[in-house]
Amino acid sequence: MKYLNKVKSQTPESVELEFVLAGVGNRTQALIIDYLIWSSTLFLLLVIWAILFSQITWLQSDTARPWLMAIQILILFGVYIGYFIVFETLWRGQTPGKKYVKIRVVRDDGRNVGIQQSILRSLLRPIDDILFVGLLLILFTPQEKRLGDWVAGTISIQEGQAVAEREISLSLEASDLAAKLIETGRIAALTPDEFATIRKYLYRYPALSPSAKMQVSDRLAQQLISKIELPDRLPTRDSHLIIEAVFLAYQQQFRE
Amino acid sequence: MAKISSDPVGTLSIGNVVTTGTILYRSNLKRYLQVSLRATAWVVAIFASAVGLLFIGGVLFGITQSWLATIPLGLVWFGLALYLSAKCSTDRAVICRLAYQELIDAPETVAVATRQLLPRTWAFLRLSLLLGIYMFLIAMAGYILLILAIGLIVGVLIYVVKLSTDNGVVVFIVGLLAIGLALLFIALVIRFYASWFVAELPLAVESTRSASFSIRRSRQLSNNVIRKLVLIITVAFLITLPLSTIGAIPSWIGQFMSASTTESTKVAGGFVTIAGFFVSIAIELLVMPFWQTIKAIVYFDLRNRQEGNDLVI
Repeated sequence: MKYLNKVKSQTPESVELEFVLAGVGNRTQALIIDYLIWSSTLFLLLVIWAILFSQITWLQSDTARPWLMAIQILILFGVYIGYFIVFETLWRGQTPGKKYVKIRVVRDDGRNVGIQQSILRSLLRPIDDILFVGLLLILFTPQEKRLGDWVAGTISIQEGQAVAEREISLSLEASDLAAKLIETGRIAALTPDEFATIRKYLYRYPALSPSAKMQVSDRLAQQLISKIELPDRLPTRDSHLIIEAVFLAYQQQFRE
Repeated sequence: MAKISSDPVGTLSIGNVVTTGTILYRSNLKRYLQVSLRATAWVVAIFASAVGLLFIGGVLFGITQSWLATIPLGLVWFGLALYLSAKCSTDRAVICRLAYQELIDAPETVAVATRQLLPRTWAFLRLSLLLGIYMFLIAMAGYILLILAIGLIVGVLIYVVKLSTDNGVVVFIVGLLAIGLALLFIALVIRFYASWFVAELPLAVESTRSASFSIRRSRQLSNNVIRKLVLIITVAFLITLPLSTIGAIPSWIGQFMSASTTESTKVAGGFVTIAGFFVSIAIELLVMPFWQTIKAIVYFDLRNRQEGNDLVI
């Protein structure tokens, strides 16, 4: 999407990388998920604590009480701050929420965050949350950095969707037709951008409404036929099949 | 590596809808605020005309000593209020149209978009009245169900299970249940709101002139993605929360002061409440274009998903 903010950064090896920034929407959504998990963990701990305390009489003795209080506070603080530190360090810049919405924290130069950056981000999180300081900074700074990001030298980016992860199911007839299309030798007239559009079409075809399926495939097939000057008498009039075949043919044209 | 962000599907995720909304709003701040200011002016005019007509009505009553004389004034105000609401609804839709036209790479000026929507002014009034009635009914029904459910649970616990109300644990569990039910109620309202979320868009950008068609189309487009829309609305709401909170503070203070026993504090509280009303109008002026932009983006994305509008070579 052309409207999302991007940032260029250089790795220590002077390789230039371009990232799409995570954006306020994704970060808010990730935060909602994390806070839900995190607060229910805290709630569960408190309930377990209360049950233990009421059931085991030994715990209620006066000598044990200050120790128990100390341990309780330590555990709560550990979960409060530790949740983000542990996940961001172990999962290379991700928490369950971030993983779900496919965003990641990286250092300014694109490297993975370490424990140092995670601690700084976590310690400044309460300040960012109070009075929505972090939200305003993310909204109004070009690199979308909250205070924790400034201090730790990190940015939040979107993870590229791996193309290979998504399956496209193609019909069997498509490969036969594709072989014929390659023989015509005109597939090369297609630009990579146009191929990307075909790929988008195939990904999204199942979700199209029934009437749109016909309209879009007819339109696209017409455009393809004129673009790569396909022979008038194709063995099929099935637009979707033609598009599938063009997709396969483009993928295979330069393979031995 | 440079293509790390290349999006193979070309549709928007929940977070990216909201982010795009903030960015689109920011880059069009002046234009959207100009329209929003106009829309707000119509609303203020409704209140101003009410105050003015009340004054005239008072004078008329003083002269004629008869309530009958004020009836025409009431009718005049009612008609005027409808007209002004229609203007306001149309201006809100103008922002949707501006945002959508930009998304499909055919941007329009404020003047052009306004002129395009002028013939549909009354359809926009019908649309907002219908949606208002629907939402009111849903909220009322949900609210009654909520109260009944809580009452039923408490009743069963006290009279059937014979639990004592002094028991802290019982109070805690009932409280937790009540919170859960209240959240369910909110979710229900948002769920219905979601299915009418983009109802302004078909009327604003398609060739239809029918409010009810526009509502049907909104439901049809959002049919399979209601959960996603609910999440988009929730995330967008959280982002507007700082502003809305600031807007609500004066009213809270005003109400707090009005509850005071001292007469002077009460009077001051009244003034603060009125000031709070104007502050909340000002905040609405800022927040409304954001929501209209989000609606346009959602509609754009839904049409791409279902109708493949963007799939052209």
